[in-house]
Amino acid sequence: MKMNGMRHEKGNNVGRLAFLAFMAILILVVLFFPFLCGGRILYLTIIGLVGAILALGTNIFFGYCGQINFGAAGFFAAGGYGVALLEKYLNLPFAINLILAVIIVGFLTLLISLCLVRMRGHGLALGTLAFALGIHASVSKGFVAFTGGEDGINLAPLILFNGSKAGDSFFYYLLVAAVAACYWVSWVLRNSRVGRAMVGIAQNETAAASVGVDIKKYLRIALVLNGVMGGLAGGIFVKWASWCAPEYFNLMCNVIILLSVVVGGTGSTLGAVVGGASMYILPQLLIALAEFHVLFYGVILAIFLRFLPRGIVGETQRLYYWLSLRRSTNRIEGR
Amino acid sequence: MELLCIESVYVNFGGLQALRDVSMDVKEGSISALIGPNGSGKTTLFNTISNTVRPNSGKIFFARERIDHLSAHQIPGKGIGRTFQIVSLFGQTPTWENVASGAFSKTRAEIFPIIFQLPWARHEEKRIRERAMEALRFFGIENMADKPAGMLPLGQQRVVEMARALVSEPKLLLLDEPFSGLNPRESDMLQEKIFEIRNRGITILFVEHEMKAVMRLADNIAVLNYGEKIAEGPPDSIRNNQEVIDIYLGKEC
Amino acid sequence: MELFVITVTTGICIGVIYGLVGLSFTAIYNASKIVNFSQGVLAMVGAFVGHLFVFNAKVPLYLGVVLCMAIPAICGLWVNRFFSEPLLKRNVPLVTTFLATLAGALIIEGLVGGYTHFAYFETRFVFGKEPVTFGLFRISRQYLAIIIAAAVLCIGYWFLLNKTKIGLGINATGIDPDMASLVGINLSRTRMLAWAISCGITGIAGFLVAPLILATPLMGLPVVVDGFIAAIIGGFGNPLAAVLGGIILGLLRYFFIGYISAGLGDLCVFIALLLTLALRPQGIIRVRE
Repeated sequence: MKMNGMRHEKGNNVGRLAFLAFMAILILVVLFFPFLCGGRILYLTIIGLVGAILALGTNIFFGYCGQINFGAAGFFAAGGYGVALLEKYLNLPFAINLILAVIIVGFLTLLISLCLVRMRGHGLALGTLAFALGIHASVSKGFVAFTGGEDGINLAPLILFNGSKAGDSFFYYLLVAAVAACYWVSWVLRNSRVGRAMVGIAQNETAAASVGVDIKKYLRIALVLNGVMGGLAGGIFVKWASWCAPEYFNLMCNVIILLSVVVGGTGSTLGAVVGGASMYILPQLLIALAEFHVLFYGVILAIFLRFLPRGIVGETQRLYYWLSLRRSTNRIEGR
Repeated sequence: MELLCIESVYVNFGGLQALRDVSMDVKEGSISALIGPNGSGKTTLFNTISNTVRPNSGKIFFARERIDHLSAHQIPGKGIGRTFQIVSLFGQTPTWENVASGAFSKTRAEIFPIIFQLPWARHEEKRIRERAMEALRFFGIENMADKPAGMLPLGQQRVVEMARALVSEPKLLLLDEPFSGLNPRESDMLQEKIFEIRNRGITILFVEHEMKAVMRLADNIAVLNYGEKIAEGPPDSIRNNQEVIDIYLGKEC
Repeated sequence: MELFVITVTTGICIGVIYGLVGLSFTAIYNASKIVNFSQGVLAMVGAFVGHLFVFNAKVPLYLGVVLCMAIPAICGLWVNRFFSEPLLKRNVPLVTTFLATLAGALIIEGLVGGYTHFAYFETRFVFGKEPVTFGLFRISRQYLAIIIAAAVLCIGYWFLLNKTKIGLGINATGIDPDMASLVGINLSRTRMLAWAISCGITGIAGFLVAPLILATPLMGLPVVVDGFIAAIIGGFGNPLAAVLGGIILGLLRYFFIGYISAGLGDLCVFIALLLTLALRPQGIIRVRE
């Protein structure tokens, strides 16, 4: 955000108008999307939205606080299995299941955070990975009687108020609402004292403590937010897919979520959405990759870490500033 | 009134005695200086006050309240702000955000008020940003507000750290070598600023090597050597103290 | 009683493998303050080399062992040169370098996996199948080989680190790089050496454990977690403590699997980590600072 007010007066008004027009068109497209495209494109969009929520959650712990979370898929799994198990054993309506599952995941995350947050850096990262592996092993091999092991749990199709079956369109709107909510939370948090505390923790813990930040407390808060968003994504996803199984939450899933934050732009809310959506949609499009998908992810991560460290959003911003700088120097130099 | 009372503080780091039986009082409203050769324990004493280091024994009182058992992050809330010898800013974030971070200890909005944008939280945030800009204007660097703090020249970075400490409206300001790395013009400007800060009612305790600034600013000077306080008093008495001259001042004054 | 013996021996032997991986982690961490995520994948490469050359008897055993150390070491050097060193120079936060080693791990795993279509590695008990008898104890030859190899590697590594100039150089590079370079140590080359040695150790660990577990190209990531947790339980920073931590972890896991439930092994590992962090975060053997 700019604190010094407008600098380029004339150009700015045109820019503002263009931006507003763009936003209006975007909102219209988002609202009427299921009527514009159906079938495969809607399917892919739904997957992209799920990826966006996962990335937004991880962006808070990794992007703001600077701590690697290798266990994001664990939250995804917890949310999914929460909804599935609640439906299987308690037979409550989906809305209640979802809310309950999210609360449970949040609480569970708080519990593990009490121990994990004693570490930083690598230790914390591997602790979160151990968490994800622990959950994966528990649901696939451990409590098979409850979770159905590799076969997973089937969920009933969602019946709406008017008696019809909820299709892709319903879940699309539900996910858009969820993405909007998570985006709002991330954005508003970042521009507040809590967000400043979190990015302070990432950059200089001594300085953060010297302005009064209780580091462990805010790391816990960040991890719980990460968990809640991951659980939300998981709960909605399994109901849409009508199936909850370990293969959705495997090891690579953790890596992909982390990757999407890096690709979009670590710390950027918009970047999380862009990165999350693209890292989930892209593999669906590149089916020809088949078994080389692991290699694909590795190469993408390598490229972004080494050559495009600011991610898609960050590097695009940089390019834009560089171009506008060149344009203004050209103007100054009379070209 | 003695704002800060340090009583018989001992600090050792695995065999190295960094501070030995150091006692010191800082009067409210004064500018006090802590001087001594390198390694005499000045920064360690600061770290003990701000609780990044726990004293092995001894007590520290601030405004008659005992503070040496608190955690480091609880200290700013009591009214103590500090800067560091090695500039500790959040390098990737804009300057104004660095300064705004200083208000953290005196503000209350947590995640739920923020998420629901409750009016008091919004008002608090607005006030924080206004105070941050005020602090930047006080030091004359408001035009750097949007630059990442790490990209500023060192002299300005030090000033940003000071602005950050001021935003928390401290009663006591600890400055660790504020003049280090400044040219004479910058040094004079900073001295004027420090007087202005004191005139606003803030007590100042600073560590410094630059003797001209110390002699001009300080009402009271304490001298450390090898972790022990060897002298304390107004500038004139320190200037003429033979032991201090032998150890430290040399030909300067 | 039979179950107890099996659980204990399996636990110790697999635990020793965790320990070797943990030791390798510590070696690289001591030299460059980075945790090398590709460690587990390099163990997999060791198993893969075994699969390619040794288990189908294409090369004699001693040559196979050399390859199982050399090829992972070369891969490790690649990760070092391409990911770790450039980012170190750029002064990025250490966690980013950690992620970069993950990228290297994924690329290696992706190449091996793509080539083998993620199929299981064919393995064979190269040391013979009949168990060896020590009085009442009967222990399989593979286990014996693991224990002997681990003992040799640990003693060799301890000797290298504490009694040779090279080893002291490696330590110095990690503790105080500026000071080390002032006394003439080539930082970059010393780190390379530490990486090569540690990746070689991991490679042989992978080769040794391959016949005992279901070795696939995907075994890298779980190995990383286990090795790292072994190092934390033992005491991060002390290579030999990592082996101790590994043995404890192995015993814990296999007792769980043997007596409680086969599927909960990973969960118990996670709980062990949480308990260590809650009760004794610096590990069992405190590291001398």
